[in-house]
Amino acid sequence: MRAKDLDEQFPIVQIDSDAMDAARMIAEHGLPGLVVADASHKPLAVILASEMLYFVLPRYVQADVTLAGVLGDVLADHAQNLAGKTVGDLLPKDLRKVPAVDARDGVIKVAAEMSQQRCPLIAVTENGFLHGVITASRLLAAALKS
Amino acid sequence: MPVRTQPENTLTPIPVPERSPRKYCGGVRAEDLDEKFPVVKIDSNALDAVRLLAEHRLNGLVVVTDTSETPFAVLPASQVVRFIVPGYVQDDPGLASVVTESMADHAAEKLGGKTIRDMLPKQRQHIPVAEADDTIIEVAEVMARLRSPLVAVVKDGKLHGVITASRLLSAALKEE
Repeated sequence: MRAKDLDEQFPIVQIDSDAMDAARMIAEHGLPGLVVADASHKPLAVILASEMLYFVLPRYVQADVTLAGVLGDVLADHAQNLAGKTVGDLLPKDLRKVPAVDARDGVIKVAAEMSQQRCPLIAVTENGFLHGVITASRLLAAALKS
Repeated sequence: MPVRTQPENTLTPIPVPERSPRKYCGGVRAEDLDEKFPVVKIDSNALDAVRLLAEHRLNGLVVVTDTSETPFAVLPASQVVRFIVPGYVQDDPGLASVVTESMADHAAEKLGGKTIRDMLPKQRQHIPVAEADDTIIEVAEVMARLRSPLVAVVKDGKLHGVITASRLLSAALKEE
């Protein structure tokens, strides 16, 4: 079994897509995160749902976590933080190693890469271009089968 | 006659400005948002956890002990994946490309004798837990800081439910 036998169609976002749209995509589809690609469909990064939440936090909480319990504030008001931003603005300046494997890689390679990067989803590329995405739960399901 | 306790939300009124058009998150606490979620016992078989994650397509599980109803840990699916990687590949990831053995055999064999406790980090880490009356800003802060796919919600020392990152994001965007 190879990576390309396992990967699935998965929503991806481009680096210059609207950050709010990306957040909505995660929310609506209940995704663990999204693969971020450039205009030519090369994967650049993975952004997790939990990382996305950081940008929705009020700025005063980002600065001082003890203020998170302040009552009367509304998380939805701060979702506006995402307005006008692109997905690229949310990514760290120095991109980590892209969580990606080649379509011909075996499942053990996929598992090794996923666990090394501690990432619940990984991009599958064919000739460097995005072919699909494998999630951790999908990989576990494949490991149990047969 | 038993003393009736007041519902919790009447004890701590949250001032929400009348003119605010966004009401959804105004008084929303962790317990309003959490869902039922599969829970595993720490001494159950590791394969059971893998099956749960795989079958329900979960991003993680809440682990509890026999002696306490408080969640003991959260086990992310990405952490479980590590246990289907053979030890020699963990030591030298370069070997992953040359491995030809059947992964299925390996996973079953490697996890069969293990318990969930064996899959948890040796050193106890911060666990993503929120109190039932925490605001969702607090829940979001914990989740973002620990980069956790889920947060366990505890009420009176007992597990009340689980909030996933995508669900929380959805709540944050709802009235947007």
